Amino acid sequence: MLQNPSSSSTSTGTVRQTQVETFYYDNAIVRNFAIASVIWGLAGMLVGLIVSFQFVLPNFFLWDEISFMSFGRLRPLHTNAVIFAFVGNGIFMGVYYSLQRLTKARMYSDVLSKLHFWGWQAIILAALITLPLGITTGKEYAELEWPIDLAIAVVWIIFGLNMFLTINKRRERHIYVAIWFYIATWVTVTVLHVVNSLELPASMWQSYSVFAGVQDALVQWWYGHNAVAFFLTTPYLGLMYYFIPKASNRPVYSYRLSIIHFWALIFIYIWAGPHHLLYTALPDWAQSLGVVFSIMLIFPSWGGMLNGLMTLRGAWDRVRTDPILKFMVVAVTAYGMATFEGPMLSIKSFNALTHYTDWTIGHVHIGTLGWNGFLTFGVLYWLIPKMWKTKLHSQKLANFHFWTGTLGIIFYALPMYWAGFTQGTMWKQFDADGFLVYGNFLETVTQIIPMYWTRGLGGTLYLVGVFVMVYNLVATARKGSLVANEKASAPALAKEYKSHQGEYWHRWIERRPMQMLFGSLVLILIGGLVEMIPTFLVQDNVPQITAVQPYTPLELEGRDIYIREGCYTCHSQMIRPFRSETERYGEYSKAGEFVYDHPFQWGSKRTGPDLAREGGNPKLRKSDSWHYRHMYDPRSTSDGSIMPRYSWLHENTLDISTTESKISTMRTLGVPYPEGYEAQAVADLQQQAQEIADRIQEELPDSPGISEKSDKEIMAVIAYLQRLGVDITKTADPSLSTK
Amino acid sequence: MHKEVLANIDGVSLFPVIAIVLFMIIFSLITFYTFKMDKRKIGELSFIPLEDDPTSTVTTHGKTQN
Repeated sequence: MLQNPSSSSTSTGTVRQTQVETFYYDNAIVRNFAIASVIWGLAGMLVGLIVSFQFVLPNFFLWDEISFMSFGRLRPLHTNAVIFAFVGNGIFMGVYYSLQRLTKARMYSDVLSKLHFWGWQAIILAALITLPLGITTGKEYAELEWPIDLAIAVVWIIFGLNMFLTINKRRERHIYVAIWFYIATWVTVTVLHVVNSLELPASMWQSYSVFAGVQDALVQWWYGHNAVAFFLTTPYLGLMYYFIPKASNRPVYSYRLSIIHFWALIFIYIWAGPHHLLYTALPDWAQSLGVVFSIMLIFPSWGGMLNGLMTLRGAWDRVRTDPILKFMVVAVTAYGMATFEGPMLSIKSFNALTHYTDWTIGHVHIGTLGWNGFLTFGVLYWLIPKMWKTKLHSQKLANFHFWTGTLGIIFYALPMYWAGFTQGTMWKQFDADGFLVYGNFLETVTQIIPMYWTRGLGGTLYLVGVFVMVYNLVATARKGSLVANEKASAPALAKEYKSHQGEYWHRWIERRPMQMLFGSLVLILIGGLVEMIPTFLVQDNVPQITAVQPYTPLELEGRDIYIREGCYTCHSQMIRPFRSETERYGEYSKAGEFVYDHPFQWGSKRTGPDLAREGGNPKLRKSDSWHYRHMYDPRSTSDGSIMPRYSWLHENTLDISTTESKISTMRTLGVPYPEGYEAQAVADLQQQAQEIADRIQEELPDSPGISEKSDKEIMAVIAYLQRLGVDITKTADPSLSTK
Repeated sequence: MHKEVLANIDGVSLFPVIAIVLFMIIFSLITFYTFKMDKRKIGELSFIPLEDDPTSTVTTHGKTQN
């Protein structure tokens, strides 16, 4: 055995006067996070599979009747589960294992570790209950309501405290590059979570974003993009820099490159959010900034990918046989593919075709299934035998998992690209006379149903592989026994440190976690602030569209139900300035139209048509009775529709107990409801609901009893849908005012 | 329209310029210093993850010894 000849645990430059200390690594907490990651991963992927089959079997017996099984409520559960439960616990598993070894110290406090673990699981459980119940803020990947947001902040701080105090008592002077990524992750996620969760509660389980319209969209996608960057990427890059050297038994290819990779990546990433809002009502300069930085992002991303892959130099023969390395190679390759595709999708002309289509869904799944999933599996296959002091139960089964997983990713992603390209081009096709060839949106959906079937097959294959892994890992653990407290020894860190001559400045910061934290914070704040401050200052200067008025109380309640049911997961409210869109939906969307929208509901995917002018465009506007029947059974009005039924809206009585509180909360946020309007709000609401119910009854004379149903939720939803896009068609009309 | 609106904010056009200049400076500094780093030190630092593992058979140059 040959060790690094020049290395010692005290690092060059320290005064060697210290004693070797014996201590124990906490493996139990690593095991706990590993189990949690796997269990929640299975649950999150299973929900993903369910929602994918809802596209092709919309009236399958269970999910057609039960509110908490409908797509709009399960989709946020799927995304939150895989991001924060599967990958989140995966991050903590990897961090708790590697941080202890890299600092040569046990985690600072077992109590903090346990609080972190159980706190995080409690938050996931809360998500599992609240999201299917429709308790949501309506902001993608940040759907959890304000009490849970507070809990997330507390648990995240506990994690940070435990991490920094561990780093503080380390026995290794130098802070290895993986830990820099953990530090940057922690500080950035803290900032993102706090800013994007600024919301004013209207009741125990409902709040409104303090931002509205354009500002809310900018903050949300600054958050949304960086949730990908700093939750799904930077911590996993940290894991890559630790576990690939471990699994391949080789040091990282280039430590120099890792330094450049780190600083360039965290600086550039934070700017890229606006690429989610290209061609929207967001100011052009912010869009352009997002595009430029997104394209620049390819360089540090590929630098990191190459650094990961090149670490395997001289070990490629083992990649053919070792399933752990196979998983890691595909993971890093998927990272490279996703980070090449991301900048391409940020090019405006390409984005014009792909945005709102399934292309985006394919893109994110290359990242999650390939990069996050496969790296997690690789780490698990390496970690479990290591901590249980045994060998993997079956290499064959691990290889089987590898191949089913890889095929699963291919069967998932390719049909999504195909579907995205097909639908995107169909939306834009004009005939020789200048009319849309596919004027009926539904035609573009039924066209890609076979792709949805294939995607479902891909997801099934992937999940089968995960079940095989669970069996394999349980069998492995049964063969060995967990070393809950693993003995280790290292010399204590000398109190005095003498830097060697000619030491370069970067090593100074590499020894100082707090300075590293501060440096990362400054870099990410520059990006966030430069993009946001001007847009926020603009708020007072944007010429308001005077005809745009606050929602009536009934419309506001309807909007809240729209958010509760997750309508934004399939319908956008943002018409881009293309002829293909203005022909189909009407005038393109203006920033001034959204000033009272807390939160914004622009959406990110069009499984159904855009709804921004649903009520205001005479070509699109339907009767109240059409909406009434359509929501009860979409296929009764639109043959072949894949939209879920919302029959419970016709049964549930609208909850008006919080209407007054909602009005006053909105006023606090700047929506100009007159002082004291609360007292009149419910009466106005009931009157408007009765008018709608009577109108429907008149249109459907053969269905008696509708007039008596004015207190049902459906009336509020119809009121909201009929209001969409109306204001801009009018000049300032006092009758629209709530006064 | 946005140009008129943004014109009301003093020096807003400088925001992105300052940002990109700052990025270039930091990026250049880091790149410059990483290439000035002592090769022996780099080997040492990149070896940290492998140090705790008694089964490791790797030298700083990444070549396996049997």
